[in-house]
Formats: sequence, C-alpha cells, structure tokens
Amino acid sequence: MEGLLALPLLILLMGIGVPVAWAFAGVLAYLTVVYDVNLNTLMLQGFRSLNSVILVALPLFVLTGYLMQSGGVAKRIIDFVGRLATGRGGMGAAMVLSSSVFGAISGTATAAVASIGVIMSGPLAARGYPRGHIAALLGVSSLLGILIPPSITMILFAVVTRQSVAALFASTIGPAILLIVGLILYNRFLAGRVFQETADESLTDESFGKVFRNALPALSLPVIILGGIYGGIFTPTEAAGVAALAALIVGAVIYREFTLGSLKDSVLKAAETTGTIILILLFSFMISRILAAERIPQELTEAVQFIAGSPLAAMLLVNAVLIVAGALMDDISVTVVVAPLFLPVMVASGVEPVHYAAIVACSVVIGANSPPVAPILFMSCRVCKAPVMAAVWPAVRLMLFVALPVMLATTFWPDLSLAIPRALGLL
Amino acid sequence: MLSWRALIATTLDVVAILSSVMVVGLIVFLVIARYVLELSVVGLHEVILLFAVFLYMFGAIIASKKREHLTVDWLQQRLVSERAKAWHDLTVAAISLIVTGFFLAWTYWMLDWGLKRPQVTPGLRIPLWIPQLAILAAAVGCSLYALRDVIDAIRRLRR
Repeated sequence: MEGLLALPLLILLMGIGVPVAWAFAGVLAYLTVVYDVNLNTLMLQGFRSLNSVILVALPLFVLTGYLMQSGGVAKRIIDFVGRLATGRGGMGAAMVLSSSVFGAISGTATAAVASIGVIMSGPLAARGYPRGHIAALLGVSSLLGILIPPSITMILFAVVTRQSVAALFASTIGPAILLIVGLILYNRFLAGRVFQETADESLTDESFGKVFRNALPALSLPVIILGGIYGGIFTPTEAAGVAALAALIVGAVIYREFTLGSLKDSVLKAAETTGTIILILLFSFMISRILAAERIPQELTEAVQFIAGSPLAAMLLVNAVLIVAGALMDDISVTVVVAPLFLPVMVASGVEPVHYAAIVACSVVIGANSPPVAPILFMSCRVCKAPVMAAVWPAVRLMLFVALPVMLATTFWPDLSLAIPRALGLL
Repeated sequence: MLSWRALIATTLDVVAILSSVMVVGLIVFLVIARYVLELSVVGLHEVILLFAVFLYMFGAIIASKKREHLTVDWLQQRLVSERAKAWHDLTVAAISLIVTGFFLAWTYWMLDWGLKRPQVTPGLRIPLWIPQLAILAAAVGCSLYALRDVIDAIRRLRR
C-alpha cells in the first residue's frame, strides 16, 4: 500500500514544479525509507541498468534531430513535402507529412515542433489557418516522431521492459499510418468549413525538380536508418550513430548550413536533453526495482482485474489510466514508470508486450497534448505564436476525433501493431 | 583570464562535446570495422559505454546549470505576483536541494562499496569506478546548482 503512494507523491512533486528528475529522486528517497532498502547497492543497480548499449541510441537520435534542425535538413523536407500536398487542406497535410518524415529520422517530437513550426506556421496562417488549429495540428502530428521508427519513447520502453527495440519500432508503424490518414482527413474536413483556406503564400518559389533534388539527400536519411535496421545491417544503436554522422555530412557538405557555432550548439543541446532524460531514467530504474521487489505490479494487476472484472474492461481501464497519467505527467514518466507497472495487467488480459508498447505510444500522443501538463501542445503554441486557450479546444477535438480512435483501434485490433513485427520476423 | 564560472562552463561543454564525438565516432568505427575492415573489435562497446555515461551525466549537469531540467510548469505559469513566484522558486529549489543531497549520498555509497570490492569490465578490464565517477560529478554538480537556486530565491525574496 505504501508503494502505491509513490504515484500520488510523484504527481504532487511534479505538480508543484519540482524538476521531473528530482521528483523521481524524491519518490525514490521515500521508497528507500518505507521499504528499508540496502543503500550501498541501490545506485549500483541503477548504474548497471544505465550501462546499456541499446540506451546509447537515445543521445544519438536526439543529436540527429538537432543536427537536422540546424543543418537545413528539416527545411528541405518541408519544401519537398509542401509541393506534394496540394488541394483542399494541402498545407495542413504537408505539415503532417513533414512531421512523419522528420519522425522517421529523429524519433522525437520536440525537434519536429521547433523545426516545422518555425518554417510552416507563418505560411499556414497566411493561408487562413487559425493559429490555434495550427498549434494543435503541429502538436499532435509532431508526436508521429514517437510512432514512426526510430522512436525514443520505444527505446526507453524497450530498455525498461527488456523487449526488442526493433520489434517495438515496428509495432507503431500501423498506428502511425492510421494517425497520418486521420489527421490529413480531419484537416481536410475543417478546411473550407471551419476556416477558409486561401492560396496566398507558398513555401518556396523553386521548381519541383530543384526542390526534389535539394531534398534528396535529406530524404535518404530515413532510408539509411530504417533500411539499415530492418535490413539487418545495423543494430538500432549503430543506426543512430550512422544517422547522426549522415545528418552532419548532409548539413555540412551538401547544404553547407552548419557553422562551428551552430554545430557546437546542436551537440550541447543534445547532451543537455539527453542528460534530463537519463536522470529520470536512472531514478525510475531504481524505483521499478524496489516496486518489483515489493510485488507492487502483481498487487496492482490483482486490483485492476478485481475492479475491471473482464480482460476487455481491464484493457479499457489501463487505457484510461495511461491517458489520465499523460495529462498529469510528462511523456517520459508515463513511459518509464506508469506504463511498465501495468504491463503484467495487460499480459494477464492477453495483450502481448509488443502490442502494449504500441498502446503506450498512442497514449503518449494524447497525453503530451492534454492539459494541464501538455508539454508538446504548449511548446507548439509558443513556436506557432498561438494563445494557449486558442489551441486547447482544437487539440481536444483532434484528440477526440483522431488520436483517441487510433488508440482504441490499436488496443482492440492487435494486428494493427503486431502484423508488421510478425512480417519482419521479429515476433 | 577566465573567471571560475566560465572555467566550469567551458569544462562542462568540452567534456560533453568530446563524449558526444567519441560515442558517434566509435559507433561509426564499429560499423566500418565490421563491414569494411571485417574486424571484430573486442571491448569497443565498453569504451562507447564509458563515454556515453560521461555524456549522460555532464549533459545532466549542463541542464542543471541552465535550469533546463524537464519541469511541469503549470503552477508556475499561474502565479502572478513576484513575491508568490519567489516563494514558489524557493520551495522548488529547497526540495531539489534536499533530493540532490540524497542523490549525492547514494552515489557516494555506490563508489565506497565499489572501491572496497573493485569491479572491472569483462573485455578491456576498465575499472567501473571511472564511469561511476561521472555519476558522482553529476551528483555534486546538480547539488551545487540546486544550492545556487536556493540562494538566488532567498535573494529575490529579500528584495
């Protein structure tokens, strides 16, 4: 029972504004007192979990994202996709597709928000898109970065739950395609009905051929990463290293947009972002070990099964818990602490761990855009210069009509997430 | 002449950049060694992990220095008066300082335990206290920056 109090304590500490890493350390301190843990070997266990080759993919994909941003890769992708997506709702669709391509390289949402938002929010507003809608659409579509492999969220979940990274990467491709289609159709439905779209401003005046030639090196990056991983050439960690080097070469040699200063900034920002995630992960490893030793996940499984009564209700209940946790906590906390706690419940309900990973990723899409915390939505508002209140309702509608149905489809249609890993021989 | 603040900032940046370059470089070398040179480099993963831990931990210190650790700032954004903001900052900084004190203690005990029972990596026999030292550096650095934040918040309250 004392162990379950860790979750409200975590939410309380995070809610009052204590940095997430220190909120986790605070909860860990509480658990060490409650359960009389051996403090000599506590940090050693955390260190051993951190000392993982798979985890090295995390800083490298983060670095790739920053290098894409400062090396001009993002701009070329957006220019190219902007030319492809025409017709009603075309530029909104271009934003969704750019986020998808961006996600296929970097695996984070924040880099996509910063890059795509800065380049596209002005032209979208000039075409009559309301700023609130732009911010909401960017907030949700940027999360395609964690659904389309490579995904940092999936790397973290794989490390914590000891699953195959390649299988988890493949499990979210189906839901990602569904989300892309849903976002494009929903945006197309709104364009001309809720707001009038004009054709005033284009992203670039260059010919399609030139835009394509310019984008070709940038578009080769996802091929290198995904082809390398699923072609059995690289491990995910090696693919991340090669991706970082390729993004550096493309930005420096082909686009020539790097300066020494921008390169240094990118490397330092990536180190800083990694540092914030890693501390959370370090403490969460130790929390999970204590909770597992005290059989808290098993007790939670029994409690959920008792309350829900059936596997179907248990799955719905876990979905609801993940969404509420996502609205109250950041995505990393949900991925490394809350979601693994419910893995035994889901397995007992007949859900495979790889399938559950896809459900977790879908919940992160909703949670990261759900107030009060909504880190991605708020960042998107800042980048798109949209008042937060103007973006909340469009975001809620996007969640209700697109993201939530995708999450439910992922939960109750296992083949959506399992077909691709099976086809690739990963299950 | 560099001030001590600039010296610390430069040191942190240099370690973070060097670690990043080494991690990327060694991973790319690993791939080249396997496919081009057809070599299996024993123990290279151990060196990569060594630099990775330094990258993680110095990244964490830089985030503390810049006050860039991931925070749920919902409450902070709703506070209007300067005094309320200063009290909030002091509360958060004080909690952070206490918690980083725990972090420091846990890390010290890990190193103390490890030095009494020396452990090395299986391939290259790198002593484990070397990467663990990076965690100690993070614990010390983050604690000191938490202390800085407490002092700053107290100064703002006094004004």
